[in-house]
Amino acid sequence: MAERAPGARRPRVPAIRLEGVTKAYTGRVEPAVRDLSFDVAEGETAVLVGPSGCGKTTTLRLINRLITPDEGRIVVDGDDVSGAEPDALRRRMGYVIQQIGLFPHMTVQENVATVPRMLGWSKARRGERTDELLATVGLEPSAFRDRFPRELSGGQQQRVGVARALAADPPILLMDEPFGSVDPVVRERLQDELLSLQRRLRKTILFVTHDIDEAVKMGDRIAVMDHGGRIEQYATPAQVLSRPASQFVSEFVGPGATLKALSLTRVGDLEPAECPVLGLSSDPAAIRAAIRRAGTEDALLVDDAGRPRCWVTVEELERRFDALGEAAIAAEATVRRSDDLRLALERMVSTRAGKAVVVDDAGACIGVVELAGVIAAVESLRSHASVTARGREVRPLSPVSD
Amino acid sequence: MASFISYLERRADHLLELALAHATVVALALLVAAVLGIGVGVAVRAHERSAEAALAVAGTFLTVPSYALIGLLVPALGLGYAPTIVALAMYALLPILRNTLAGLRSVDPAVVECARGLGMGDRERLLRVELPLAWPVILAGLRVATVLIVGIAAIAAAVNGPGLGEDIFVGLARIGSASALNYVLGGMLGVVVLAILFDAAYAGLARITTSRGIRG
Ligand SMILES: Nc1ncnc2c1ncn2[C@@H]1O[C@H](COP(=O)(O)OP(=O)(O)O)[C@@H](O)[C@H]1O
Ligand SMILES: [Mg+2]
Repeated sequence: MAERAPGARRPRVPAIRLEGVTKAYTGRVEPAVRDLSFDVAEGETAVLVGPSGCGKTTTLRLINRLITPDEGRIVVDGDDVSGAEPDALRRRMGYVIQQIGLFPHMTVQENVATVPRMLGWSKARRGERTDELLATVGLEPSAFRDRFPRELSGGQQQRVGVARALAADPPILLMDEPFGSVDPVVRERLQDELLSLQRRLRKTILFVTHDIDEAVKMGDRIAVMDHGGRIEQYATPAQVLSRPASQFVSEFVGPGATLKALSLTRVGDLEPAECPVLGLSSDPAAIRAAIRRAGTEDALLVDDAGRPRCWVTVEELERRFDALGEAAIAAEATVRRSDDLRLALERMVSTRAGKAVVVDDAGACIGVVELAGVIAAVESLRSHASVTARGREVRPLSPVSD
Repeated sequence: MASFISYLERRADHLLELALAHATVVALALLVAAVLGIGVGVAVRAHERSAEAALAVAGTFLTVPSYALIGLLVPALGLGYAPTIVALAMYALLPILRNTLAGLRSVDPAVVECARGLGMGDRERLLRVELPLAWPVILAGLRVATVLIVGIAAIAAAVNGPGLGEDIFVGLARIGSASALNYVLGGMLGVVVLAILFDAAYAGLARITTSRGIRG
């Protein structure tokens, strides 16, 4: 708790709260979810992750009342949903599903404006809103608004699906494996775009996936679910990865949890490595002196614009300075401060230097990171998983905090 | 052949009149059958057993010989238009009902799930999503029903009903006389031409009423 930013109010109002919810489908003995309780805080992305058939979809459909619980209570924005008019409730929650479910006989514009039309917005306002949303999800309005769903790629369709869910600016988004039906490259891009969208919009998102990597990437918090809707752990991605609460969680996370955790930390959070940086035309003696002073094995030489060129060691300097060009190791491994450690590690191990140069937007060197820094970051992640690399506020492990 | 053509020339006005009456009866019967078939289809779509029952009933209508059916209706409805339209509507019901059910069931469940999840009410979902998506299949059912009853409508003449059946019946009654064949052929030709015109109308209707997003 000490890490909490001063003045941060906690707990915030949970936007979604489930209390002891049980649901058995007719004709089934075993409930699809049993005694399920958890909160999603306002403005957060919570991810429900678990194997197929564990009850994730059922949970979402309970929340927007597509099905009703046998037992328990569901509270959205302070109101028990069982008392709400279902259609009005659903219009306050965007709903995105894996099968996308665009209306094939309607244009993109008509699809996106579905909820605004039901809410009685004027045609002009709907048109404006559609264009705004299409731009938001990365589709050029003039090129896309009059197309039909079948004239779009899978990725474009799901962008429209997201735009449609956002149309009336609902405070809550329910997303059921939204990127499950697009190829991995498109999926990655859609994930990144949703993340950046979410940084601006600050919706309350309940995101469902069966993919732990996606969960780690998208979630402020992750609920790992076992069959029957049993939540095995509800914690930050860092905690789930480094301190799995049960055997089920550690098996679900699978091997490579540490490598997965690397994606939670940014290069900018690393302790920079000690490294002398000198101009390409520096005097060998000066380079040697700088290396000795820093106590390192080598120095980084940069060009006039500060862009990294090569690494030189003392031995190379002693051999013959003119041959430096060939002898030195090109400093090709570069990373940005915003890159995650997975990428940084990848870059480091793909060059003989074993380290990476941190560059700014112009490509100029602003520091150096090395393997030891990555290892230290992993260690600190593991030893106090409560400090999350994305600087998030951290809540206790218990599913329902009050 | 030459005599048939000159017959047609002589009888053109009369034939046209009969054809118009024939088309009117068919159209009215279709209207009734469409309202019933689509209405019942919508009502029973979610109940497997009621749907089966409705299909069975509509199927039974189709097995009753037309001559008998129309005759049975006369005591209740009198002669002329009424029994003809009712009988034809009963025949048209099965294809329309069957295709309405098939069309509604062919709607992607994910699309329905999304419509519900976005807060679209039952009525609106039916009118704005399910029926428009089922429409091409329903229209195909209407088309089959039309082909079916354009021919059967000739039987109306048996109960003094309107239509091209009149000439066919006249011809059949005079079989053996010189003009008998012309009467029968004239009536038949009229029916065939009507069927073709109806079909062309459906092609146009399908184009106009089906969204470009789902047109084949
Ligand atoms: N409409 C339904 N009728 C009966 N059983 C269902 C229905 N939907 C889901 N189930 C069952 O409920 C369990 C949970 O399903 P679901 O919530 O869809 O899981 P998930 O989304 O995690 O894959 C599964 O065992 C599934 O077979
Ligand atoms: Mg599911």
